[in-house]
Amino acid sequence: MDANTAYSYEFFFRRMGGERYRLVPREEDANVLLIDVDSLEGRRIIHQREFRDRPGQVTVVISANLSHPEQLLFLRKPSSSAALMEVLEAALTRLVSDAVAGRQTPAGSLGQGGNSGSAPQKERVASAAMALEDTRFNHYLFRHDSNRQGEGGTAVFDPDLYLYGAVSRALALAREHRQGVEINWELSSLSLCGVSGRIDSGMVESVMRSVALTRMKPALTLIGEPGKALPLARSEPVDTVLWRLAVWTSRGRLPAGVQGDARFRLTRWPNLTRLLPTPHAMRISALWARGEYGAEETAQRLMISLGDVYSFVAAVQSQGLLRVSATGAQATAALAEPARSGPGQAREPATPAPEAGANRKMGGLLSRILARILA
Amino acid sequence: MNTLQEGLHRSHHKILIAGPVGAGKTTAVATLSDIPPVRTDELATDMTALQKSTTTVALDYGRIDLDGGEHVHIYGAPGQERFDFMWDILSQGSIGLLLLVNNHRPAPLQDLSFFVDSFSQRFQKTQFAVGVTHMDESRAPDLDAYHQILEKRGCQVPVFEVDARDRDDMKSLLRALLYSLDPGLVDHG
Repeated sequence: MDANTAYSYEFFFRRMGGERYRLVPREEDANVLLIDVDSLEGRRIIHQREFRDRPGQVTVVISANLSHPEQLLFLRKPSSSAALMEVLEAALTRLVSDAVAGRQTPAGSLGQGGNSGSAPQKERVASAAMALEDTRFNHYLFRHDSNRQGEGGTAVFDPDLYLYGAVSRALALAREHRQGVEINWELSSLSLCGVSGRIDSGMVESVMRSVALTRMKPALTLIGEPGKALPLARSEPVDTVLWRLAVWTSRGRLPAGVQGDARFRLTRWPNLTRLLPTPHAMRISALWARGEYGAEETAQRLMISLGDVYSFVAAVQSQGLLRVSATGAQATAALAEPARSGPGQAREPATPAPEAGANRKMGGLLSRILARILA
Repeated sequence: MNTLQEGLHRSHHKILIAGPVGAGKTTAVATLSDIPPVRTDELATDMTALQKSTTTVALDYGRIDLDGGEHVHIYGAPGQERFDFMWDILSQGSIGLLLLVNNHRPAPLQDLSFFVDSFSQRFQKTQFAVGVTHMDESRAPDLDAYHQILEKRGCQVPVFEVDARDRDDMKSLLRALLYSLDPGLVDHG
């Protein structure tokens, strides 16, 4: 936890918690453990704990994903201060119940009466909380406004209202005519070459990120001679630009037209060493390369947020790497492919899900190798 | 017993790096290894001399040290097919295969086909990942072409552009291999 987050919790405990909570640095000293399971560290801890409370300690799982271990207290992100307070009170109640039932609490922990469990509420001090935030992606993946949802409660965005959709349409136009395409809107313009498949944005990344979030209706104009490459001074491959725009525009929402209950499978792995990493892209890729999975099922299996799955859907869709099956209808259709079309789209039926823990010894070894290379 | 002999002796946790001459196998072993790699290069005396001044005739060896004193041994297999007897030895009991292909060679897709076919009896279809090197020198063929070759063989594996000297690239390729083996893998412990 960074210093700012720690300070925020301290302040929160003083103002909202009536001095009944304090932050402790070591998880084993806490009565209440707050674990953000959307983070790598959070998932590690929850796995270590085998999804159960430890004696004398109540675990609160924090996640943007609704799926969570049933026996643990749960707080869904984004959460209000009142919701956090409520779940902490519930944790204290559970702690007291456990203490009354004779289970131990950590040293020096619950109230002035130690382990008695009979301390009145005003005396209870939960040496609480450890919170883990995954800040790696926050600089560009702040979440959508959850009040704006599409049909069925799934958060969606319409690519055609953003630069992402305009670049997708421009690419299709450029390829059709083998000509350059200029994308113009009120403030700026982009040039895309139909021959080289490169785009000249003239924008630094931070600017493009902001533009990606702005609603616009740009005009597309064919430029240059057919079959002749445009001189694009600061150009980059359009695929990588589309991927970035899709991620920045999605912000945890599904592209319009993709149903929330659809099932997904990758036609190919994305080139993840050269594309902007989305949270858990590699794990989702591995899963969807093996078989067909729904978004919620993926989030549950990998213990990640649904928003991360949706962002990944938007990103791989921008590359034409996704096969979507409508549930119920049994009909399958490749998504409209803005980036490219190519052979090898035919897929065999979905393969069975990988068996979790089929080889625990090997799984443990792989986990330790993974931990080593991530360190 | 030296480091290499010790590695071969306790080779039950190992990862193999294979590919044609000049693909970057020796460099990749050094990039991933926690110890100074053990190299068995000798001066090249045949056509491979056109590719690089030295070439691996036996193997390269490196090691990833895990908590608790365990190791994962990394072997770079010799690129020339005349040494394919080594491929069998090194493949036995391997966790997986990182296949490196040099995109700047005359026929990289043929290289890919040859090595995938050669190792198909030794590894399952989820047990390898492909790293394409030297793409900064030659963009063609693109990664789609690699995927097509693999799809014809029923393989849907990670294919990444990598620089064998870049630790992040090689770590990403190895991560992709590990997740391919078990997508539900927990990131730590």
